[in-house]
Amino acid sequence: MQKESIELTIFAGTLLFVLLSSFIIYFVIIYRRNQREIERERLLFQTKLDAAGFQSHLEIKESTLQKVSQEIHDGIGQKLTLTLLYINQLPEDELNIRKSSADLIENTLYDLRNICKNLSGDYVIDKGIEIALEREACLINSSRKLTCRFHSSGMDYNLTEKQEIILFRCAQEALNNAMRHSNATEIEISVFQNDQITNLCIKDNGIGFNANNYTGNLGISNMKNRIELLSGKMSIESEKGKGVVIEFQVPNKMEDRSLLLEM
Amino acid sequence: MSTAFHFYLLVLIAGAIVTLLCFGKLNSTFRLIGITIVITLISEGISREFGSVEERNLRYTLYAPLYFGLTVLAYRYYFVKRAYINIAYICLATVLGNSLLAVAKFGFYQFSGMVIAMDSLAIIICSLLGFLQLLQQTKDSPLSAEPSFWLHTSMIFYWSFSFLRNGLLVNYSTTFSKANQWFEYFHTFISILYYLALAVAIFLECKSVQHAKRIY
Repeated sequence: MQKESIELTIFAGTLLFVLLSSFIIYFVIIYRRNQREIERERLLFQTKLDAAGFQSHLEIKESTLQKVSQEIHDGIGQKLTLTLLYINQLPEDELNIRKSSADLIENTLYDLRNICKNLSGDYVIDKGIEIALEREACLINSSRKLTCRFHSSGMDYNLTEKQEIILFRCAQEALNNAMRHSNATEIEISVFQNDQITNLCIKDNGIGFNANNYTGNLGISNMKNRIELLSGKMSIESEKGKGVVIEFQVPNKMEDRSLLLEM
Repeated sequence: MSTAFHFYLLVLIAGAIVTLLCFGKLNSTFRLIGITIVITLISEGISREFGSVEERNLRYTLYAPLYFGLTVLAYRYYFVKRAYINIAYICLATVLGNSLLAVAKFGFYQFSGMVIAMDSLAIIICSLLGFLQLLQQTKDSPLSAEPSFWLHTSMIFYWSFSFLRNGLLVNYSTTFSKANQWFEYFHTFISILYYLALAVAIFLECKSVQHAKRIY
């Protein structure tokens, strides 16, 4: 009787300890899975927070540029126009001085309008990314320091205002980099669309850099962050002495990341 | 007294010292757990003076409701959810009612292993709920640094063993057989691990409170 009792106890004990050990192991596995899930959610939240922060930074920057552009247009532009009117009313005997002053002011007004258009996103929204980029190419050509070619094809699909402004600002940043750092003589802007994506490519024939070892600067990381806001991709191809090719690719139907702000 | 028992007493002393040193920094749960270690140390310390079966039974009759009552009460303070707290109260009522019924039925000088088996079951239920709560409050830190993990693990292992031992084999009023003696050695070994784990849990709780104080 006692032997049976001992056997039963040993059996029950073994079973109990196996069950308990399995329970603890199962608990540890579940706990770790929960921890990983929490970590993943925290990272996702951080990414969303960063994107939201970057988006509001862009919005503030855009609205500041808009304001500056308006101030220049309404304030300085207005005063220069008035000055031009006064100069044109000067006596005939001062004709040469009057003409050169008027030309100077007209040129200044023209430059000022271009600056206003550059600063303000309204031009891009009104005319579209294609015309805005073509105008950028014309402005670069007018500087006569380098040649800028522009190609576009299949621009049949509308982008949202946000997409157009962000893409245009990225193009401006890339063009500025090419003009300031690359010692290029030629720049090529090409933009094309299909039903899925819009592709913008900026290519120069400058000194280039080793893209594999390049850690990036603020301008490049800003472009990358902006394109990521549009759920797009940015790639840089470059080798020393072989120029730089920067390509931006954004989906036409953008996943609206501004929704993240509402979380 | 065997070497194993001496070592067991040493672990209890270490646990009691950790409790006394950290008492001010502990929450209600770990304070009560610390008190159970001190009570056990006193009970085991005076066990030499209680040589006869009747005297030993009297010691258990007084010790068991106090020990189990405090442990279940510790879980009551640990639980956050109302449902868990209610279950802890039911367990507490079971533990105290069980002891009262045993005293009413057998008197102070007889002690049934079934009382401890039933009380063990109450603690097992509480520790399972504790695991569930721990799972619902998953933290970043590793489990080994989580005081309640040590508490629940030690409780569930020790009291499952105790449930088995008291429910199936040992009756304190009878003479131990050889198999029971083997069980007793194993019990001492398990007890050493149990109180060691409780001391670690109290120490970790104390450390985490200190760390939190440094941060805030």
